Amino acid sequence: MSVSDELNKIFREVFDDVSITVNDSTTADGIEGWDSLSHINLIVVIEKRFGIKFSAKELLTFKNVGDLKVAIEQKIMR
Amino acid sequence: MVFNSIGYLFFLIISFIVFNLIPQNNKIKFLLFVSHLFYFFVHPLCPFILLFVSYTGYHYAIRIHNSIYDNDKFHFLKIGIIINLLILFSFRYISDIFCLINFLSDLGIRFEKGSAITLIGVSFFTFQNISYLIDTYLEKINPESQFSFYALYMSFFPKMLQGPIERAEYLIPQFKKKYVFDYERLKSSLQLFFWGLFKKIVIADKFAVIVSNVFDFDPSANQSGALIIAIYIYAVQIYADFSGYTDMAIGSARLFGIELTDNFNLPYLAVSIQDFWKRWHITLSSWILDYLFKPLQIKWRNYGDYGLVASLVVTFLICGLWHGLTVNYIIWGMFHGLFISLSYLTNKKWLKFCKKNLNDKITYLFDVTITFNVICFSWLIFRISKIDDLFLIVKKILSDLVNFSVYLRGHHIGFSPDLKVLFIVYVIIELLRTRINFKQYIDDSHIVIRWALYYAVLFSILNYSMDDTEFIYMQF
Repeated sequence: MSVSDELNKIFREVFDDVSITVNDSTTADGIEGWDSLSHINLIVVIEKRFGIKFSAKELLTFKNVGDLKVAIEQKIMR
Repeated sequence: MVFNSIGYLFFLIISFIVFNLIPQNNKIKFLLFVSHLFYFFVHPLCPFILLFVSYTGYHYAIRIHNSIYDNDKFHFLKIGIIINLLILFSFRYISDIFCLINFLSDLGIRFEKGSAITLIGVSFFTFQNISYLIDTYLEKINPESQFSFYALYMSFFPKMLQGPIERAEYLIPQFKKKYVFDYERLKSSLQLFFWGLFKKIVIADKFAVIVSNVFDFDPSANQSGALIIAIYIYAVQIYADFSGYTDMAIGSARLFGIELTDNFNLPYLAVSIQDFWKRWHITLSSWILDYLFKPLQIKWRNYGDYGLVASLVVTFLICGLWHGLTVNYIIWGMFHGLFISLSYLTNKKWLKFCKKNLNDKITYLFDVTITFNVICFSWLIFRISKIDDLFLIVKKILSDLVNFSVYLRGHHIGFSPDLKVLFIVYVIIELLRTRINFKQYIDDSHIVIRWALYYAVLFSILNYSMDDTEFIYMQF
């Protein structure tokens, strides 16, 4: 399963909505329930599922799903 | 120099005329000069401290940007933030700390609150500086290379005393645009400025007298009906005061072709406390979210809901302390932190329950009513002079809860019939803003109606104007 597919699966689980389909340009505005409070739950699930850890600086600069995906790919390739 | 003073009106008019007469390449220098002059009137030391803070922000942002290694970047970020926090504590909280020392110990030396210089607006410009340094460190923005633009971002006089807390990437590009006189913009500036002045003088200052009559003496001596009315009136007063100031700030800035961020979006129609903070003092909420809550939330992310609740409570505790080092502000902050946590933790279940049992309109009305009343109660905590009063007021209200006749009896708190009409009219106007664009309505209306409205507003301002009273948020 690619990073994009796995991310899509995580989004559906966290936001409890099977209709969600994310792409690189998806932001919090495009997903119902994705706000500053729920954002961190999403990050924790992503970190656990991929076995990675983001730095605070990375987490404060992600602008969209594309940024998140690039960071995951870089970490799992190391 | 407060916005609701004749002095400010003259200052604004003269600045606007000169600004329009001088050539384009001198306009930024002129705005810098008048902004520092404006701050000079607060205290002669203010412009020098502001220039120092501006320079440190400008300097350390460039050092952060030019450093190759992250350790060096972080080092300069820390120095920049520490300087800002030292300035903030020295000129904002030192007098509160003196009072606390006097309260806690019986030292030989007595500090008087007035012995320390308190800079009005210091928290607003230090917050701007901190956000600029952090955003540069996070590589969200590139530092400004010309000091004059950065210094104006820090000092632009309409936002100097009470915000809005602007972001550099929003304000600096506006300073770089060529200024062109626009009659429509001038009209809209004046409409907003005088509407803000109306809210301050006619609404906030008049209702402040009633609120003071109830809360500043012996609150428990009042009937519970009077206490409840005063709580709701205070909610209207603080909104009219602060949003009135913001309208005047935005109107003043617009005269010079600069758009400031609005701080309010119908906050009393919020459907939850979380929603309220997206609508009240928006620029402070957004600052606190980005630079305080998010780092805490990230740090404690592995503790699940406990981590989230802790981040919220600590964030709002600091938000409370930002208003002052007093017990009621601490309780007020904790109250908001706990209510947002509660709202977040129960939100899913509540939504499911509503979907199953209630229609959308009833859910909306219920959410707005509950949120508004919780906010009003939190304003009571915010307003009282000593914490004992809170318990006395709650006890008094609860003891009369079943005795409805108490609420209907006359209460002698100065809520005269004309003020009752004013209160109702103002609340209706604010509620209608959800459906009507008043600016458009006024612009499209017949010239006679339009000028009748202008004269009514001006007449009310002149009729009700008292001495130059301060805005509530100026103390923060």
